[in-house]
Amino acid sequence: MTASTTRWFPNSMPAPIVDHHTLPWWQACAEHKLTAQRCTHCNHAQIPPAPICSECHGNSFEMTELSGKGTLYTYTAVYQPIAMEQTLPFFIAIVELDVSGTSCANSVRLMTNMVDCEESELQIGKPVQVAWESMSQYVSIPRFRFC
Amino acid sequence: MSRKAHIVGVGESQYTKWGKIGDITEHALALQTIITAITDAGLKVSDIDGLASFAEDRNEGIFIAAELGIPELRYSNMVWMPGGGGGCAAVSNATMAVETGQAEVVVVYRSLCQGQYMRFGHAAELMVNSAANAAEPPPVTFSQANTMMLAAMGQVMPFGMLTGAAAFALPFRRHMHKYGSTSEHLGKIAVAFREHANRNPRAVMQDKTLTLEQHQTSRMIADPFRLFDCCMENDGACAVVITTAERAKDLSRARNRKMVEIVASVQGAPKGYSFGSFTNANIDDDIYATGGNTQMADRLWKKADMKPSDIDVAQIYDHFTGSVLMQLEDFGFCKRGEGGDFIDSGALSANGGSLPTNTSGGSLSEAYMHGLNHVLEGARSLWGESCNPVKDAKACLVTSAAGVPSSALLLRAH
Ligand SMILES: [Zn+2]
Repeated sequence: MTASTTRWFPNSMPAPIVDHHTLPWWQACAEHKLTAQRCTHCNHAQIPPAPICSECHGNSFEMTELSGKGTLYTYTAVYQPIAMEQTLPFFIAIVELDVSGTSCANSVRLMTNMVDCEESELQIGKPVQVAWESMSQYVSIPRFRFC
Repeated sequence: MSRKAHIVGVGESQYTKWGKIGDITEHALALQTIITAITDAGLKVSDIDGLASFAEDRNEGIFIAAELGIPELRYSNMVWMPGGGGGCAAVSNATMAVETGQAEVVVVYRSLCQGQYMRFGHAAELMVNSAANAAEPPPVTFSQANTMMLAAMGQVMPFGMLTGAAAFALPFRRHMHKYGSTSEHLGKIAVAFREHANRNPRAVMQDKTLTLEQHQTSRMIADPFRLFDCCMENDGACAVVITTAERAKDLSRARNRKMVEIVASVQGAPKGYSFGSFTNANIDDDIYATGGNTQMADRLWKKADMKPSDIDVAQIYDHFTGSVLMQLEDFGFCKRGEGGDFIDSGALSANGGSLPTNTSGGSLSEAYMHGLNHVLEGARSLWGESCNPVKDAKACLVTSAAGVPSSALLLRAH
């Protein structure tokens, strides 16, 4: 785990609930690596990881590390608290992740949070990059900020 | 076709704000409401041989059948689909049971007292409270999903994705970006449905008027959705009775009602949809900023050999105003991106609009019964029994949720 002191969300936020297939993705997150599950047969990329490739039905995968760059696809500013002592509003966003330089056949989107910005700065299409938040020694969450 | 499915009776309990039904359980309310609906149809409880529901209704058919003393349960079905997407699908299942001869009289029901269990808009509040009550904060770590739904939600909950308002705000924000739809368009939807509810004594919001200004200044829930863009949280139950054309003929005559035929029904989801806007960030780009019901809508029109201009009145699932706007486009009442203009034309009003919509007030202003109340209102609007009657209405579209796997019905009076 990479040391990081920046915190945006309290520890009382819901923690990841994982199954056999999604655990490796979160384990990579704990090492501050943003990955996509890439099918070694057809290169289709998917997040979250699943038991089989939805395109060719293969079941051989590699977790491909992505650059952590992308663009804002859509967002909402939420005014209801999810956790104790939380700053409101907070921003739920979908980010289209850049897969250039990898073997992934398609770009892939991730549901996440925008941080370090005002609501008025949220603009679809603007470039973003990952900002890791370490919640504990086990769990790090990929949030995003504008480049 | 003598077995073609028809709606012959409807019934509901009193609808209230969440927590106001305290003297009777949700379970008892389910039984009472089924009896109300079967009586409305002019049938007896002993005529029921099928039960259907959706949205993981807590009141399971086999127990309900036993408690009602039904002589023989021949069909029992729960839609395998989350939440409000399944209302019309439950009617569709009843339709298939009746038309294939598995059952003669199927009651579709939904009993939902959010005050007695969890309020849907407050999943987050529960989580905050349980964290506050913990003696010592547990370390942040993984927990194991024991269902596919929990695995899918467990992937997005760490980002605060817990409520419908946030889930359905995401695609509508992109719709605003692509097509220029606005919060004022949404306000006009909320105001139109409230005006309908103001004339409906069953509506929770009967006595509360709503202006566009009140909508525009109401508090933000999940941008762009303000308070009045969100459906209510209610207590209540409702039920619909489905049977064959042969039986419907006599029952309708006895009640002096037109026959209401279920012309066609569909259910479905686009490729890779899973739990739609809640869990899926990877919906195809050309489907993302829609209600997700376009393919299903095309199948429905084709199956019924009807088109949008044939529709006299519509009951469109309204968990959020934005989902109504996008469904109007999905079902072809206007072109993609022109939902805002369609609403600006005053189309949705029962008072002279081109497509009177949610004539009971819908989930925004009558009651949130997961959309089964929209099916009741669909039948009433064709019987001429709506509180907002549409003159000579012959055809009605009923839809279930947008943004999750869903379903829809076409009803026709004859
Ligand atoms: Zn593949």
